[in-house]
Amino acid sequence: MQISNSIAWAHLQLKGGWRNILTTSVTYFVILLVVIFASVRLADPTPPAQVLGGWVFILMGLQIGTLVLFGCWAISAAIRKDVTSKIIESHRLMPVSGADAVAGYILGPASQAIAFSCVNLVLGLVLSRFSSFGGTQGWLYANLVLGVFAACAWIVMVFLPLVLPVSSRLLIGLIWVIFVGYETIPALLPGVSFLFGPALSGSVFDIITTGQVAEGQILSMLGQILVAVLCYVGAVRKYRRDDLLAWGPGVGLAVVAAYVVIQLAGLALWDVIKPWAWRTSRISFEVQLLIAATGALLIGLIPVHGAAWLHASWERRRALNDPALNRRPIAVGVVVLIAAVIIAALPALAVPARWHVVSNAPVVRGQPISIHEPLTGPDVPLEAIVRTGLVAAAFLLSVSYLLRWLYRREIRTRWLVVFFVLLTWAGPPMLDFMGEGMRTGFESDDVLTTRAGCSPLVAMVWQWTSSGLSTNPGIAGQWLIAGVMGAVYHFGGKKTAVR
Amino acid sequence: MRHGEGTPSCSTNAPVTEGRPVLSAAGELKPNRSADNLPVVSDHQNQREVLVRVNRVRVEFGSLVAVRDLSMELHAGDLVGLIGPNGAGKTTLLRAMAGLQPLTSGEVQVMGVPVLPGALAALGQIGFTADNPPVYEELTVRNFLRFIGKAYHIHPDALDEKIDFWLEQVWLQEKADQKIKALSRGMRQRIGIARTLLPDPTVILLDEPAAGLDPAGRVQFRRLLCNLRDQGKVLLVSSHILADMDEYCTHIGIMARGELLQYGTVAQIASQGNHETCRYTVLLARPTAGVPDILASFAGAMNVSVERDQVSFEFSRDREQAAELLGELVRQGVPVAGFSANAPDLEEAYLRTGIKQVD
Repeated sequence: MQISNSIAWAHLQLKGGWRNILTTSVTYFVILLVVIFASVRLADPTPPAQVLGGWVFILMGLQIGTLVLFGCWAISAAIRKDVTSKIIESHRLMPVSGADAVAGYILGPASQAIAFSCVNLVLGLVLSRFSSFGGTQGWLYANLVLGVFAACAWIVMVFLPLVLPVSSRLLIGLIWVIFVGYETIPALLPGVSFLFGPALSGSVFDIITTGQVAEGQILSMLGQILVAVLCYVGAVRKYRRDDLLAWGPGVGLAVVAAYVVIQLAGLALWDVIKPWAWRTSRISFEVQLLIAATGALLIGLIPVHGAAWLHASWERRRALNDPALNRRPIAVGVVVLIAAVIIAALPALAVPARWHVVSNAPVVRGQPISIHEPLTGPDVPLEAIVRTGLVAAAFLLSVSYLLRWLYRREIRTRWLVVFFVLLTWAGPPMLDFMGEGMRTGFESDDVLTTRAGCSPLVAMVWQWTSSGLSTNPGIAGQWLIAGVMGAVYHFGGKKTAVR
Repeated sequence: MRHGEGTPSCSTNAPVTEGRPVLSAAGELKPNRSADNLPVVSDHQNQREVLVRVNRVRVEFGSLVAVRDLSMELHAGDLVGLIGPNGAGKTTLLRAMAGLQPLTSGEVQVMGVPVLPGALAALGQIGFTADNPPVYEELTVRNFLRFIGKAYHIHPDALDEKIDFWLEQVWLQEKADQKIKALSRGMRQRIGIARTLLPDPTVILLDEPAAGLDPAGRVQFRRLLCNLRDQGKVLLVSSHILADMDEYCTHIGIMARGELLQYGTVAQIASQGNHETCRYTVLLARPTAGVPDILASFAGAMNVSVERDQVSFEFSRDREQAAELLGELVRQGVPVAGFSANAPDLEEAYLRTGIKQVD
């Protein structure tokens, strides 16, 4: 069989070629068949249809393991190996487009997983036909939903090793395991629940039994595809050359928009898509909205970082009289403005969207759903949206000046940015805690003053909860910080040096 | 005779940067007038097509400038040897030309197309062999080259034939069906060369290609390079084996601290900075004492070294003076069996530059 994609072909050969994949797949098929046949015989007098029904669930478990776990591992391992052995540089020399290369990195390393999943699919199809479910529709739909999820996960698996260093991946993985273990992330960031629908909420097992795909699942698939497209774009760029930004300012803004759309869907459809652990308990909508909006501030750093990097690089090239100087990149301020508008759209749209869903479907899975205070209607005060946008703009502008200053001086440490974010977010409330606490002997519960509003985090909390404190002085303080950062950037120290 | 020697039509396009010496069409080093004259001083005698244009390429790693505003033009049939100490920027320059190294500023063009990430047309014309070529160790040699052939869209019907041809060229035909992990470093180096040449690139960049090759392999490799050069390809080879480069290169570039300090034909570089004297070798019929003392009595004879029955020294290029010295040696009873003026030597020329190892 001819494969035109060279990277897929190479990775297929590394796995032993078609012959090896066919041999292992046929062996896997025969083993499964023997075990299923034996289980039916041994389970007598239990009706075979019931036993086969159980096997359909087992096969779905195997399908999840094969496609999601095995497939993702194989892809991630293949790329990591190519990066560490530096053969990816040899690939970069080849006239293979980034899109083809990324496709090759999916199809080649995952070939064994795909072959196993085909075995699972065929076996499951036959078993579900003769099982207690009495039809194949549920099995096919469940595989479709799982297949889309796995394909998107594979693209993310190509993207991550190209973008994140090992230490970052380990850290993220650790946080992920801790929080998903307690289902905290999906609860606090409903968009995550929305994306991980097949794994967390209305799972593929539900689809097998009901034979229907819920509306939330279809929307979830669209969200997964959106994330996959963005990761694909980033992976293509990073594959072409390591120094390129995976997400520049343009795609970075699309990432912010995608985040907002996914969080909106998660917030609006929370009662439909929430994880099993939260089926009987409730979480405050305002807490979810607040955390989603705060997360948007951090996601907003992606396009701002891209714009700052491009701007610094362009300035450097101009200072060197680069004969191949391109046109000036998009202004950082414009990127900050667009990002702030997108971020402000999250609360502006989330409240009416949630209200609409609750009003039209007050009962989900037999349980009444309700929306908590202070949400009393679909309308959101315009001034609250404007303040959210101002907080976002001030924060992103401050960080953009810091990034530009760092890049101009060729200081590449990202920890300084992390430190700055921690300082500006936690510093003002800490000052209040220390100041007021010392004064009152840490006995008063109400130690925060308007000064704490200089923190974007505190300002967002006050804005979207009924704290009673004015956010205006704090927002003015945030803009003052942005102004100081701007002054330091524009007037502080030497311009780009030419050695 | 060295390749390029006595062939003034060879490209003498020297890189020019502000304050840096440039080679004129006559092959003389002259002070650079201005960087505004870029890209290069053209060789009017040479109308060969410019295949590679490096325009003020600069590569920085933090505060270290690995390649400093370097420009050059390479023509069809140029085989340029790049020499310099470790850390001079040779590898970085080759990687930059291959599109693997991000440029701080400047531009590389291959056949008029800028070498940028994703510029597939340009990439298809470039072949690059790293000093330690990365390979898929679990694949057989043939399958690895099939992979390369597929990536370069070589027609399947012609692929195996081309693979066999190049395996023969690098003496690996017997290893075709062995896994790469079972091969020695030198053999992997040859696979890297075959990988580079299989797609028939126009521009060939080789970083220390002969480092892992055995003596026979080096001879074979030299022939291969000469063959490619004669086909009209552009080759840029970084190496520390100057004796080899002396034989096959048309041009030599000496790099240090990211700059191209000298550039010219091998003959020009070898004789650079020493137009007055050359090195002579006297072959004695038998080992004889006292020859250095006799030579020392001659004004102008210096750096005398004796090795058994061979004496070498530097002396005036003037033939009359050389004949006089030879006559005196014979008169003094030195059993002269041979007397020759050595051709300018690349190693000596390099040492004369006074470039020190970069730490």
